[in-house]
Amino acid sequence: MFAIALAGITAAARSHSAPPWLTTAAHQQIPSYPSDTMAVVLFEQQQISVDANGHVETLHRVAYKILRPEAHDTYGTLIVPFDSETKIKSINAWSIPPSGDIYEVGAKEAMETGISPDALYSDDRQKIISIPAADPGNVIGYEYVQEERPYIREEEWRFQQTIPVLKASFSLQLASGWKMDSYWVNYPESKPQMSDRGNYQWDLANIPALPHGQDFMPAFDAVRGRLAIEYYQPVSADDPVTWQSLGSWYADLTKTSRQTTPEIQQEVAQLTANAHTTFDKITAITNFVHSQIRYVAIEIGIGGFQPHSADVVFKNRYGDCKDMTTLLSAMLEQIGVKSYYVLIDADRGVVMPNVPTLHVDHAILAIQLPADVPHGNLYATVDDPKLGKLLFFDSTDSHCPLGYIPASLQDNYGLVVTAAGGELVKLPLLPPTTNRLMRTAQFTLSPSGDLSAETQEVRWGAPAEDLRWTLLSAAPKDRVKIIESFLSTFLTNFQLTKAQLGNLNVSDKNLIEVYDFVAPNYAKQAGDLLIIRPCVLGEKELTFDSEKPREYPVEFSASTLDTDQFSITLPPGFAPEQLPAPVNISDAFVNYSSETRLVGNVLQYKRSYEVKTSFVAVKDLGQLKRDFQAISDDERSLAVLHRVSP
Amino acid sequence: MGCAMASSQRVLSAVLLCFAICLLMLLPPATRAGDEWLPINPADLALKDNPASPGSNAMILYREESVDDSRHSQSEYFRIKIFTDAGKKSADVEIPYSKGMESVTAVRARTILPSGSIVDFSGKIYDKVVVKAGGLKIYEKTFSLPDVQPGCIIEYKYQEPFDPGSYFAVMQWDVQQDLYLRDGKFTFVPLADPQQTEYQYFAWRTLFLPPAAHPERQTNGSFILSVHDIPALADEPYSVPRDMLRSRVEFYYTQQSKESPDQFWKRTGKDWGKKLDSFVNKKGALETDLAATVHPNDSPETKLREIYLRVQKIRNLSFETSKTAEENKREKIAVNSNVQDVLRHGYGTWQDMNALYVGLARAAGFDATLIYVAPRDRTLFLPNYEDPGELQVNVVDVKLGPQDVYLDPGSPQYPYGLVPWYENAVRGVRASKDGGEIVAIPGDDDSRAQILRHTNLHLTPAGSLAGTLTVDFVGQDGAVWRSSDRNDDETGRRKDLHDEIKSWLPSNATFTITKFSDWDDNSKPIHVEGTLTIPSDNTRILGRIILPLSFIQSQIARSFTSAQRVNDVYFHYPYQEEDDTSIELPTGYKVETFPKVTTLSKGAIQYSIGASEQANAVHLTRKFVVNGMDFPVKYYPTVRAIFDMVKTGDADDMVLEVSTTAQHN
Repeated sequence: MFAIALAGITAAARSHSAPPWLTTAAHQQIPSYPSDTMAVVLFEQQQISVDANGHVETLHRVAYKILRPEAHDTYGTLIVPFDSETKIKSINAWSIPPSGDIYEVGAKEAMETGISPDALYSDDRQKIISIPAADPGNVIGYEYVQEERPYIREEEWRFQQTIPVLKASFSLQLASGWKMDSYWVNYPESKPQMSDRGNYQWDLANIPALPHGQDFMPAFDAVRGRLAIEYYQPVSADDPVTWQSLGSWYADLTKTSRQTTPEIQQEVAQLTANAHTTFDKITAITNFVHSQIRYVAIEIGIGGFQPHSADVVFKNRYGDCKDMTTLLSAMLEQIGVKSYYVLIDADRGVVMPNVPTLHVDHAILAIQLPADVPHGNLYATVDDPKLGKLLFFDSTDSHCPLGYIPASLQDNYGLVVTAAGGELVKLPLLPPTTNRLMRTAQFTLSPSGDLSAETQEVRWGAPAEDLRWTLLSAAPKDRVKIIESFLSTFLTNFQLTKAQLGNLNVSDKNLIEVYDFVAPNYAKQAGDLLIIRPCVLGEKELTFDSEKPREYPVEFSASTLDTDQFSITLPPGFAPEQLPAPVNISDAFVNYSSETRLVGNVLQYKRSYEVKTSFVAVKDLGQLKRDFQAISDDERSLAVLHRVSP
Repeated sequence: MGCAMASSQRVLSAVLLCFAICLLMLLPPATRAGDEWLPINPADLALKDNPASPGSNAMILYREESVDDSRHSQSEYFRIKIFTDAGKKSADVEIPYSKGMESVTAVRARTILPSGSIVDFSGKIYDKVVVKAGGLKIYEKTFSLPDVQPGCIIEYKYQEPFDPGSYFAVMQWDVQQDLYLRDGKFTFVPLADPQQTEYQYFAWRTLFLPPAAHPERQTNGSFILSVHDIPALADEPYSVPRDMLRSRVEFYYTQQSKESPDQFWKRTGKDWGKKLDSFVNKKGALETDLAATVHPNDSPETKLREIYLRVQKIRNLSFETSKTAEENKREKIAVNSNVQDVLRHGYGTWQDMNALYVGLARAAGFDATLIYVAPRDRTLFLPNYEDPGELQVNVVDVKLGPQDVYLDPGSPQYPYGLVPWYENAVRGVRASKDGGEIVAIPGDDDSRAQILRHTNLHLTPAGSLAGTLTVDFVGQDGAVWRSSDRNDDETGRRKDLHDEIKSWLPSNATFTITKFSDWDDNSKPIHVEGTLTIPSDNTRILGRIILPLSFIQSQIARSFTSAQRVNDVYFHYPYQEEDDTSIELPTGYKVETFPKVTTLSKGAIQYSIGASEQANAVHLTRKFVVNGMDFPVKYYPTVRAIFDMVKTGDADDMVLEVSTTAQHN
């Protein structure tokens, strides 16, 4: 529908000329690229100027050469975001076909839409322009100028893309006396050319493409080359920008947010009336936030950073991550427990300790655990030299109980905000034993090869959280389909005969799945042989694309420990002819063991699979690939039985 | 909300109208909304689940929608019961509207807690930009109800007055939505005198309403519909499009008085016939072109085929990458007024191509015309509703002797004799200056869509397989690929077909395309050849190797894993899959056991898989035929069981015996 609208409002034909920067870019020779390269960035430029009042004007220029038709939609549409604090001063785009008959489009041809995929309301919007003739062989380019008064004085140049970049340039013109710090991420450092008038310029050439879409790859921003810049007035609190100063800024922004009201105090009093210990009180309050406060994001202007007040969140019973964190913090304060905002990016690896920028998209809480709180079962903790034991808690993830944090936040950096400023803290990777899946099953094999099963799965930690999200996002009547879909991965043919879920809505208890099924013809008969796969259920999925080299590290979402224990009662009259050999793997990344035994007429299969880390570097992928090949082989291994009596 | 058009002949642009109609389909339309609320039934507060559809996240207890074209008012009232946390999303309300043409006012909302206590909504209502372009301003009023928990009831109401002097050109009651509706009341007051509009008459129609539900016309001319227990729409794989399931009522003003369906389609078909005749009435141009296209001694069928090829050589604008208006203007693309324009310009739309074909066929002495049909991937032809808008595409109907031949030269991916799947097995209206006629275009049988696979592999002593795989996408299967990738280049097409073929194979298989041909010749199958390797699957056991009968994993069969289903199973077209596989065995290997041949013939579905030993090789054959499209949901257990049998047959193994000598090699 939007495409139709765009076509409908595009301007009448007229003759145009392209600006010199685009013409120059268009005349470059381009090297040969792999045949699947959609387009190449001929030239990309950002010119940022900051005046003495902190107003920022940014000129963006980009020139692409379209190489393949697939690029038409991706690179033929210019999208420029803005909000109530950002003005688009000018916007133009050109297309240069080989004939040289240039197209030009501008603000009059732009369509405006809102952007708030996750928010009920946000003032974020975007201008969209459809660039004519974004066809193979043509050069397209655009230029726009934005003006803003940013809340945070930082910029990021994301020069590395999914297509190659021939030339890229970034310049920063600061007001007299202003300073800046630059940080190179995932790319060799390049020194700027500097003028004596406060201008810094970086130029790069031949930046390789970073392809998308490999399984288990880290977040794109965690691997792409980028330049982060903080700038500031000298002799200010931000001189230089540090994690501490960023924390101070946020502390100042939120200093009044957590004020309580009589209603909040009354609620806390009611919630904790029967709680005898501090831990019980903390539990009652965190449970309240998880169960009673609904995630609804409403962000206007500074509202992208600044939470609504605790009072508003409490009255509405809804808010976004920072709102819910604010209310929780205010409520904990009522029982004498201190807590701190933690700003974090939900993509692990994006926030880096040596790059003090607010590249964050999420807020959680660090609860300063009083000495009387036993912390043996509270895993998401760190011992901070200044703040003592901190327990991290995500108010938005109602399926992640007190003591845990969601997997994406583990082994990730968060900025703990205190009145004294910020401190970057590495959140723990929870040990495998805290993230468990225990699957047990009793199977009975009929003489004709049909398998009947009684299965139980018990989960806690990350596996429980994942499954709760899946199940609770579905309507209750559709949950059985999720189990059926799971079984269909392993069984050609089955009938689910029973399915029960225990503790589905009680996130601090083990999630229990009980299901029975019948799988006709599970065992294959070949003459006197009966062939059966003992690993009836479960797949430890990490497949490496055998047709493409792996270019990224592997990132596991969490460290986990899964165990399977299956007993298969065989029909009478069969004896083992061959059983799968035991498997034992142990290295820095994975522990895996499996064993198949015949005890009486019961085939017993048990295995244990432990992921010990969240990250495996490219240099170690050969070992990891061998590990998972052996695991995959084990999962497919067959037991062969032969008939010994008629 | 929706499409309020001014009676002062102000006409929405095509884009705006299209957008507004889309909104109409998306939006809840609406009665007066004051501060009064309907009484709460304690039994509703106590409800723990939807008794009529257990396991729901939420249900609409009551909905009232009222539109009055005379008073330029509409209002909406929703009362929703929340059962689960996931159901709480119903408390986030978004009301789209067209700024400048209508407004959203008198918004009231409240939450009734399970205890019966009431929390009135007193928060802010936000005004969010959805899209602004060329005078079009679509916004949303958004708000979220407070204190929403499972067990509570939420309700909200609002008014949406529209521009005085405006009316709904098309008004729709969206009776069925994503939530179960227990009780609903819909009211529409049309203009008392449609002649004060640019239209003359008023009409309405019902679509997929339950049998007991009928809009009642009141003495004052208004319509009232009361409905009960409307199930939620269900999204399931292999279903007909939602718009062909969704209960709704449409009201519209029209230029024409009410005629009988026969009269209506006769007149409409006559109009179309006249327009067609006018478009092709360029005898000289057609005869000149025909002379260069066919030889007088050609057989009638050859002539028709040559004309088809001729028409498809003309640039077809409808299937090119979308262009901006500026590109079209720059290229001086003009509208063709007749076949002479098409021939002179050397381009045209799909409509132009089909009309040109009719013209050339007539010039060659054939009886030819167009049949207008409702494409069944989008809509349905319901003749009694007298809506020409349903007949969105057309097909050429040409007499070849006693036979009707149906053609669509305007679809460049389709060869002579094959029309797109969504244009067959449908009814339509034949255009004729003598009056339209409702006719049926027959559907394809399974031979018109085939995937043919030939595999030649050799088994290594280590148990891996390597060789070649050839795939031909025949008929509809080839045309569908040619359509979806029509604007891609060969690199993209190769990648997409590679990914498709790879998805059929075991996850550890490697497939590399070595030859890719006949894409541009729509009369031939798309032909793909490649090398295939399948690593050893650890299937060596005690002097034996176990191999599956089929390496192909049926994608469709995996879609029927659920025992429950709401909608009919609907395939786009009948089809066949045929596999012919040879596996050369190493020396010292021979077949110990083959599974018994599986054959299955259940109504429209046939399946067979088998194996035989030939010298030092095994030969595997598999055929799967679905010669039907629509399988009513009452037969779903049978359909599912059949697909289970197919999966079981595919998963059967053969056992190869390895001689002692070979084991030690």
